[in-house]
Amino acid sequence: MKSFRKLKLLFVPLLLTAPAYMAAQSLTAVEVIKKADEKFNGEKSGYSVMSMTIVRPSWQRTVEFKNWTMGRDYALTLITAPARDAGQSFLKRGNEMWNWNPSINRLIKLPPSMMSQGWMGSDYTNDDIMRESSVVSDYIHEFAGEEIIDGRECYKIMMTARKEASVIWGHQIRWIDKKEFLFLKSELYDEDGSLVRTETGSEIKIMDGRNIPTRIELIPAEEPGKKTIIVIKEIKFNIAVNENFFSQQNMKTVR
Amino acid sequence: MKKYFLALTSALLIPLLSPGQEDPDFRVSGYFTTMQSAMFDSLSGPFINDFLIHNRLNFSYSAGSQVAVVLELRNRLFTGDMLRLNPSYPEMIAADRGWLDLSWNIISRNSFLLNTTADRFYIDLNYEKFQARIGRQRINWGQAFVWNPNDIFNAYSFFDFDYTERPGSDAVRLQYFPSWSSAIEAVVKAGYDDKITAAGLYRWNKWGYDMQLLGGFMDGSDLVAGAGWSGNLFKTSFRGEATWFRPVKNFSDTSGVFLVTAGIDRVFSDNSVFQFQVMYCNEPPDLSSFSSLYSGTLSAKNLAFSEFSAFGSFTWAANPLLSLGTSAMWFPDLEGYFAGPSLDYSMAENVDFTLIWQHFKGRFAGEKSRINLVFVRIKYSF
Repeated sequence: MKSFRKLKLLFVPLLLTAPAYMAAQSLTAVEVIKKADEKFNGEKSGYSVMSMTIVRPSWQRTVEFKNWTMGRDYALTLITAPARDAGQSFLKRGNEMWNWNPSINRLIKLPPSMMSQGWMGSDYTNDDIMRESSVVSDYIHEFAGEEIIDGRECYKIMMTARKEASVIWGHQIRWIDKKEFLFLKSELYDEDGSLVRTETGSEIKIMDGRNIPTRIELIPAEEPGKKTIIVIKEIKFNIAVNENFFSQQNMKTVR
Repeated sequence: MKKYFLALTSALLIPLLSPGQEDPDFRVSGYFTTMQSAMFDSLSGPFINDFLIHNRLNFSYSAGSQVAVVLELRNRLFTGDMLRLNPSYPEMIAADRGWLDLSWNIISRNSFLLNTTADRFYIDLNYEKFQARIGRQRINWGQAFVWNPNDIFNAYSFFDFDYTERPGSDAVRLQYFPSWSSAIEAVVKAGYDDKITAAGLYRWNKWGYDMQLLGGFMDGSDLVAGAGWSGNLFKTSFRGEATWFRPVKNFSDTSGVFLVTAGIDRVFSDNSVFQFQVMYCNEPPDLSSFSSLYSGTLSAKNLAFSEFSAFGSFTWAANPLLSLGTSAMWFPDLEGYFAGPSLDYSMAENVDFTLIWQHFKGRFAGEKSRINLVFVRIKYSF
């Protein structure tokens, strides 16, 4: 983990020095991923209201939550539905994580391994929600051609996990809209190279001044009838938060 | 005096609660449950059958982010054998161990009993790094899961799975948060007998561990000092608590009661959970009956029933809707144990089904006994 953090520190200034006037055609694969990641998550921080529906062949369940993030290291998530879990919050700082349960008035420290686990029974992991790993600094990127997805021209980019990075995927293939820098499709593979899940982005809408996909479907491979649907109801980019917002005190009062 | 306290609190609330610049926020939540239970010593023996309809109502009103008022009510309708066989049952249900008596038997008849209890009723004031909470509230200083010797404001029974919220304490709680992960607390609580518990706690985070130190005076009789921690050993959480209680009276005659507990828990990738916890107590109180084991003691000091106790449980998340669990507790001094399976099933978005079987065996007041309790519950949350 330590080496992964050091690496990230080395990497970020490198990316920031890329000249802003650089034309889209001459973007490198890593720059495309970075642009798309920042566009969706906010360059510095973000706030979003989402619902997540777990779909299984014979049933479905929905969780709704609000999410505040700053960089990779800070995240605060508040559950707003279902009623049973509403009011619970999760705080992530670095690689530490806590859960606040208001009905028993108790703060519970969670082990770091919770990060890579399915969030509330979904195909979505804590890593996805609380953004432990980085699509930019944890992978080596290269162009793998161009394809059309939903009538939009896309870059196809192969991302191979760096050896030192603590990520759960071996490699990913991502399709990114050439004009708008939107993640329209991703395929996530495990370390043995088998496809684990496919993600698609659709229902592109303007939110907080940006065109973004507001519906994301996660479809696990080889598990027919199963998927997880994320719907973004509200999103704000680069909100006015600082490190102090991500506190145990705020976990209990955030609304 | 107590009713003046209520009147005064209400009078103070009105100006505070007039909405400022931020939008006021009023919320109602809660649940309805129906629960069928049976108690028996063997399957061929007679059953004591009981039925409970339980409604929890949580009201909260915030005038902006600095002031909030919370009232939470528990309404329970009991019918069944327990009520019929035990004349003091209504009195037990109505008992409120708080300073204020906020538990009322609305209707009490031979075959049914309706009780309303307010177990939360407080005003919360937040200003920058300060928080004050005044009134009936849950103060939870626990770090471990099953036994919490640090949780000196509450003591409760692990077996009472139907009351996760637990009773409140009538207290004034002041908190200051020096940093994102640390807190300094001072609490004064009064009990039904006007006995005072006054204590302070310091909690901080270091080397990936949450740690706490506490000290004070409990139930008008004991000096208390304790420490607790939560962290992890690789993928497994490691938590524990230790508390030392020493009566002020005859201080030099006794060494006091010392309780220490430590446990591990691990959540697996499919959300299955494993827990294990052990506890040591230098001076466990003698248990007079099974019911004192079951209903729990009234103080963190009397948490142990045996010099050593151990607990283990495993809950298998068969799928996101269904989990199957089994847990066991061992009390060597009672030559006894508790063991039992549980089943939780999400029937619909807000409807949960629970089946719990609790089996106890042990020697209480010199007599061997065996008891089974089975509960079937359906819960609708809103």
